[in-house]
Amino acid sequence: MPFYRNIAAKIALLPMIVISLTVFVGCIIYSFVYSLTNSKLVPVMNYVGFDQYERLFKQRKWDVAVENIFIYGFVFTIGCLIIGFLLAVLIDQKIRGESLFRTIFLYPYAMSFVVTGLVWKWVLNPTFGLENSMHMWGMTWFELDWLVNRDLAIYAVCIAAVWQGAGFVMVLMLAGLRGIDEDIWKSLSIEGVAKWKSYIFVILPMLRPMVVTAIVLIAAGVVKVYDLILALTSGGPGYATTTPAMYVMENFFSRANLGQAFAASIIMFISVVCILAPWAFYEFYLRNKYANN
Amino acid sequence: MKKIFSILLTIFIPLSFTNVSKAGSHMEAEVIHWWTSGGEQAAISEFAKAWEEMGNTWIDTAITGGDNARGTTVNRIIGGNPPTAAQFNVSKQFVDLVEQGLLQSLEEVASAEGWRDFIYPPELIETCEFEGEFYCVPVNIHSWQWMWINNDVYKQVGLPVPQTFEEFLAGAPKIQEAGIIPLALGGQGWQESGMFDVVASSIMGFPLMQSIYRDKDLDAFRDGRFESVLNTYRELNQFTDEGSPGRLWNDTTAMVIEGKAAMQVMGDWARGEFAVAGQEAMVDYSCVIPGKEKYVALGGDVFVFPKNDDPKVKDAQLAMASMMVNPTVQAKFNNAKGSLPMRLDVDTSAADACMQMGLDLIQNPDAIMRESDDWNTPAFTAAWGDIISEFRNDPNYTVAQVMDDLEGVLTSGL
Amino acid sequence: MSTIPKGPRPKHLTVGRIGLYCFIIMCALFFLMPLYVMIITSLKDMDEIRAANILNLPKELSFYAWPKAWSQACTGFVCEGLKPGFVNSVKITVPSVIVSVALSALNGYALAFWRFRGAYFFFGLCMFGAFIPYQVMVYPLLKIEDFLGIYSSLPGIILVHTIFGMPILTLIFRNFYSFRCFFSICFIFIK
Repeated sequence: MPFYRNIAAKIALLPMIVISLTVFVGCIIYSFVYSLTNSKLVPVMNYVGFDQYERLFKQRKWDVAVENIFIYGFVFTIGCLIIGFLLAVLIDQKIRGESLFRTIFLYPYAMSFVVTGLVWKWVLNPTFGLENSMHMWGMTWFELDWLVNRDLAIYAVCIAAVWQGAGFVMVLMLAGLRGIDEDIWKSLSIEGVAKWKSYIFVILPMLRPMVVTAIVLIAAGVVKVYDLILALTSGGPGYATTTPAMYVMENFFSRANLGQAFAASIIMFISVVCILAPWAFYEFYLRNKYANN
Repeated sequence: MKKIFSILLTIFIPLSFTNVSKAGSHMEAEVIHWWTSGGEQAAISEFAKAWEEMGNTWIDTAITGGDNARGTTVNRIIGGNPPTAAQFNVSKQFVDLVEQGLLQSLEEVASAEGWRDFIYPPELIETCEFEGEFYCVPVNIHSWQWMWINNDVYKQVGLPVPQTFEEFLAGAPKIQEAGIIPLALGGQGWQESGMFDVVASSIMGFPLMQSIYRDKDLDAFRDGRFESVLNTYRELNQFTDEGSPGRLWNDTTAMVIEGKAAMQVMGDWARGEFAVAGQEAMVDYSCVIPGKEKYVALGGDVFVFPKNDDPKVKDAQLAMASMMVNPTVQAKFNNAKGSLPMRLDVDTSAADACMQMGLDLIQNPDAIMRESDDWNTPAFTAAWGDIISEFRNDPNYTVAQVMDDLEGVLTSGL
Repeated sequence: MSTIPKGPRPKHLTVGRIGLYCFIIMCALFFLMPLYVMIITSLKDMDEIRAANILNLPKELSFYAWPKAWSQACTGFVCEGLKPGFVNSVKITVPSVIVSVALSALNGYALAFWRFRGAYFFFGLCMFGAFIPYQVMVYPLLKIEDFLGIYSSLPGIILVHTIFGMPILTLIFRNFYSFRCFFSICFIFIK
């Protein structure tokens, strides 16, 4: 009987199926249902329609959070890609001590977000950090008070985040670069193309799959960013560096406003889907097209 | 952990209790609280000592930050692993828990010991009583209505210690010129809103505050006095320092203790920090209740006891509730904490000058002030606090916009 | 094709080469700076930290902070330092990794070798789970764990780590198995 064919496989996959349905799908449904209530401290079923969503969009804090996630997402992704690619190119130049440099660039990725946040909090602190050091060494013109500046604090967060994430992109790019055929390099040098031009116009397009993978992995992490910001600025000064993830967590746990938290988390989910759906469709549709050919 | 407590017990003279009825049985209790600073630790140790002297075990789960501790408590209750006792503030933070039937009723021990007769002020009973039964035990009264002033700084600039915010503002530029930070403020939401309410009460008076915060009276809100509070608040913030964002309250108090700053607006729990630093009230530092009309705000802490099916746990909970209101324990606890006890028949001879000021003031029913927390949900308080915090941090946020946004919160039904 | 650079290392130091090394060393300094700050601050005593420059080397090495952090730092009045937390981390990490990897390997194997209708659909669903922000799942997971009675316990945390890691790990194992299959085992089966 068709059902018993591959019964071993079906049993083996049972945990995955159960988890996918109850956790992934179930949680979204649960969150959506309770986002239509006005639960405060504990989840209760008092239906209030889309009230929570209306309230959410009126919050100044939510606007700041959304703006921040865009700025952070953009700067972090571009920063990691550029710096990661640059580092990969540098290391690819047959330098001495290559594995040492690789370790130096990659070790930040192994550090937890909390430690990263804390260390950068000291370093970027105007009173005892880098700015103070520079002043003590006589360079009184140096200013790095971004962390307490409401407009620039999010960029300070980006510095810490790029410091941590660039190593990972570097490793991906380096793997890609190492996979480039020697012959291509030979032909480029025969034709006398300048090194930097060859990297940008020839090699980079060849690394497209790596770049796409890197972008997807980085982007998946952007929306979830929470502990780094909590450790670095606690969402401050005021709420200048708050993000949607922090807004949700706050409303769940300290503000006892579950309905609002669920609504915000559903909005987060919808935005992730909106960004991913085109990519997923493109990938799988293309794959099917080629598979069928 | 047990080693530490047995050492504590052998060092301190044990107290004698008159109402330990369950002296024979050994009870274990896990308590979640957020008292992690020096002075606060000394205070919670008094409860722990008293509990352990009854022959029981105190498992301490201290979590830094009120929000974090309360969040953990709620999560654990909902997740099915509740603590024996948990700290909350005198407020509406735990109303939902009561309504959902998640808390143990303390009526048994409350009626037996006659809590309604000795809890003072009677407003505290309102906080804990739901449908005629006690669901929490108030353990102290904390008032936000205090300015903590470093006397040496004022001597240095040759000014008298200010008694109102207007006087402070008049003297602040001179202090700033002397290179000292006039106003020490920690840039955390609760500190910013706490200070705001103190400024509001000293300028507007309590009856007006009540009509806005409790009755949501929009005419009272718009009659001009609230705007002058906002303006004064903005003026005060010109005199804070740039290291303020995110700073903890006790680090901020340390600035006043060390003479780096002149004044901090903070609740009377700051007194514990001065005590731990060895400073003497009214000699090294002054405590002033600001404003022409002086108030004692009825803030403070309560302990709730999440419902548990195990009857042994219920016994432990009732025994602990009873212990916490015991006059001897109250005396030791409040003296260490710097708060006022929740009953009048407590031995307060060890109280210092500042606490004495509070004790005298609280005898007068007109001087008793309730806080917004007492009438409003945490969601309301948080939304209100966000706006105040933003107002303090963003110079472009105009008073008119703030008034509109605050009105939005007042009418939101949160 | 080779994965390590072949050919002789450039013998002479041109200006370009020196420039390259300078640049890469400066990048390395930027990446090392926070680690350097962490290490030297841990070797200073409190007065020196309060008074001085974070980038200065310690005047005298003082190891007092290390044993304090490990076993004596206080939270509230429980003064046990980092050690219990570290032990907990190990207790959480080892089982979580074992369970996650085992489960995902099983999933990957099943998906790579056995094709049946619906397998791809559930795999797609699982992959979709990789991108769901954790915040959407936090509260419902709390309720699920309450229902299973494992809230606030080690199995609870292992479950959470397994769930969050499953999508990416399953993908990795599936790819691993299908490529291996393609090159070696499947040939044998076909023959």
